[in-house]
Amino acid sequence: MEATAAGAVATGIAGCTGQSGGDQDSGGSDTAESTPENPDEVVDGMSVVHAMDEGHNTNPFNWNSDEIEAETGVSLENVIGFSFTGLYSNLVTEFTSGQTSFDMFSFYPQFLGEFAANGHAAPLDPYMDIDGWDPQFDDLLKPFRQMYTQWGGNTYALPIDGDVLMLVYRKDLFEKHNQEVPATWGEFNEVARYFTEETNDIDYGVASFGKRGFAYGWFLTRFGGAGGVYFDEDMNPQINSEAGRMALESWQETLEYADPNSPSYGYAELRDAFLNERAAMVIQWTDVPKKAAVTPSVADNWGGAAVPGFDGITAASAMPVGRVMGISNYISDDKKLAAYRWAQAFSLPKYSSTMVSDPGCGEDPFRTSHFENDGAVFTQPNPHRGSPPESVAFSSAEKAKEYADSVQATLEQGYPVPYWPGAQAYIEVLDTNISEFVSGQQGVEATLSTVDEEWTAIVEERGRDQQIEYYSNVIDAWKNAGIWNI
Amino acid sequence: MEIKTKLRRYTGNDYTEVWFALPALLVLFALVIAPMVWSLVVSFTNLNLTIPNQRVQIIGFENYIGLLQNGRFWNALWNTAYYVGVGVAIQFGIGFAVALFMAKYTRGILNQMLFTVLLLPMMMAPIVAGYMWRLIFQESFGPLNYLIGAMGLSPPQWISSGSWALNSILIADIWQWTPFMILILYTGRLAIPEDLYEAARMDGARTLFTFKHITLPQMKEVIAVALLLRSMDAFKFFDKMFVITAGGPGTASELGTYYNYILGFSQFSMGKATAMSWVLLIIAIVLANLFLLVLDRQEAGGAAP
Repeated sequence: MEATAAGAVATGIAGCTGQSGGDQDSGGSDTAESTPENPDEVVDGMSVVHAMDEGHNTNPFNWNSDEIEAETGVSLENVIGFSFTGLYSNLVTEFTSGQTSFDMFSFYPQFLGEFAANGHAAPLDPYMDIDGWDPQFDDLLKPFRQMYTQWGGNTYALPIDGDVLMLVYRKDLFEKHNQEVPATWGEFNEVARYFTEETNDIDYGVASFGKRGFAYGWFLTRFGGAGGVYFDEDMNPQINSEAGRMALESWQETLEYADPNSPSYGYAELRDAFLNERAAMVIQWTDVPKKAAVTPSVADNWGGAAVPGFDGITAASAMPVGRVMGISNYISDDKKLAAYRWAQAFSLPKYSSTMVSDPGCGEDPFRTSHFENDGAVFTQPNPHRGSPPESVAFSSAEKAKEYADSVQATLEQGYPVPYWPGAQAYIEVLDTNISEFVSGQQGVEATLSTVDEEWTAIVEERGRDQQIEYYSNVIDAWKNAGIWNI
Repeated sequence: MEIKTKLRRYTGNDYTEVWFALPALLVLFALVIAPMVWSLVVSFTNLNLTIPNQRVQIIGFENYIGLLQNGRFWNALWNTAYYVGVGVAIQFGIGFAVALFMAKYTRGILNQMLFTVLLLPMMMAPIVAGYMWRLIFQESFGPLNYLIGAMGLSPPQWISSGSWALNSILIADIWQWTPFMILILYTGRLAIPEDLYEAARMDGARTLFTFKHITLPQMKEVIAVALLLRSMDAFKFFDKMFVITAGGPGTASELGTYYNYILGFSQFSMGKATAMSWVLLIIAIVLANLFLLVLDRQEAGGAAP
């Protein structure tokens, strides 16, 4: 038996693989080729359903929905929540059924290439040209402009969350104990050792992410900082390399001084290890300083900085997660129009500025305008939720500036996450093995060689030539964005 | 004329049962047999739902061979064997002891109260029990570690340690399903005629002798059913593990069912996922039949003069 997935598996499964659209190679039902003459009238009175990872990041959808409805005529009917680590699984399951219970969806940019190539996400370019519906991409920070939005020359997503890892530390303890903010991983480990072994002011010097789902990001930030690249030009994995070894060996040393619960720490647990004064410093996403600022125990005691690097090599801050909004390709044209209109309004500075500055959610800055006036917006209450005091992130302009400066500094050394078709397969393998490494199940060499073998198998399974082409295009995009100088 | 006769024959009384059974057989075929055959076919293909424009090909036993060469598969299988073997053994040991104790010493309202309490864990949805135990096992602020710490002991890393994680899930499952063992074995014990014990007592038999020669042989079938039901259930276990550790840390508590789920609904590699499903099914069938075979032989041996 040999047949295309869509044809041979006629009884049902593969026909739903989404080959029906979007791929730069495959073509398909890119139904957004034309737009009506009166788009505002078409969408007026329509309602849309949104799907995303559940939790505090759904809050802005509730805060902003009434005003966006008044402004666009499109109402948000419901927000469907999936688990943080199960988002891919849930979205793809719906896509493969050929119809979705949602009209628009938030997802992590690492899925972008696959969702576009498989025709799951609708191309947005025609909508972006509609008068008054411009998503203002010129205002996007450069790292998020292309790799967060485009695949194969088309735009498939609108950024709503600009994630990157940064160093968050206890400024008061560092000052009290005359510890410098670490600029290298060697210094990082020494500071971690100091606080764990030589003081009783805090339980541990550091805590680390170890749970499956996004542990790979904590590896990539060291791997990139060691000058590591994913593949060579022939798509041979470069993970089992000196850079991979440097990354894991330095992390292994960190774990000697880390909170022993680190292997089970995901985002929330790691955040709370810092907020609950278990750890003196953590590498975390950029929303954690905002959370710290409204947590009494550490409110004025946090400090932020770019992720450390290795001696003599440019440091790297991995960019796992981040969120963009796409439109399901399995809904009617009018629904796509309405969904785009809502998403476009949501991503504009008017709503996104107050969202990224509000500690009540986890969305992070992704527009140039979010940092205007030294991050002044981070000292303002959120008018879209009635301006309660708890919506103010930082109590002073100094703290807001410190936050804005540290986020921009860490973003300047941003290290991108794979997002071409097949990226999720590579990431899943890497993530599982890294989690095994953090838990002590396997050592440096076993981790690197296992990932190397499995990545090679994935390359073969997905077609080496195709993967070479995808990877090459992605490297070009990263270079254009100024985040790939290797 | 001949057709009419044949038709009359098939619609006559001799075939009434067949016609009644037909709808159920069709439903069985559509909902059970056909999907199973389909999944068997898929297990010999390279179907992956995330690959654009994939050419689906028959690849023979490649998926099965790949699984057998995969360390993660064997890790998951070993965890499953440990989980089923140790978990069911502990549930049986505790369940049997409590059942015998209750049958001998508790009566009336105390019995009713005990059964009400014992039924509570079983009535709880596994996912709810999972969340409850996840909070109990929480290492930084969980009540269990707080109590252990208050006693001056070093609290274990219930879910962060590779050596503890699977055992933590076992504890949660033992808590929830030991009462099932108790209920079944208790009713089995009550079904033994008291005359046998009376006669043994009159003959001066000791408690251990009575247990070995009356209780155990008389309860053999009940024990077998209880063990078989719990083993099959434990083999399919997924929910509480998903909630408490999600297979982690690393893959320390990853069971066969969860790895199967990862292959199917995280990697969407349907060829590999269906191959794994068939491997798990075959193991389950072999184990169940081995179990029944041992039971049959014991029964045959018991019937011999």
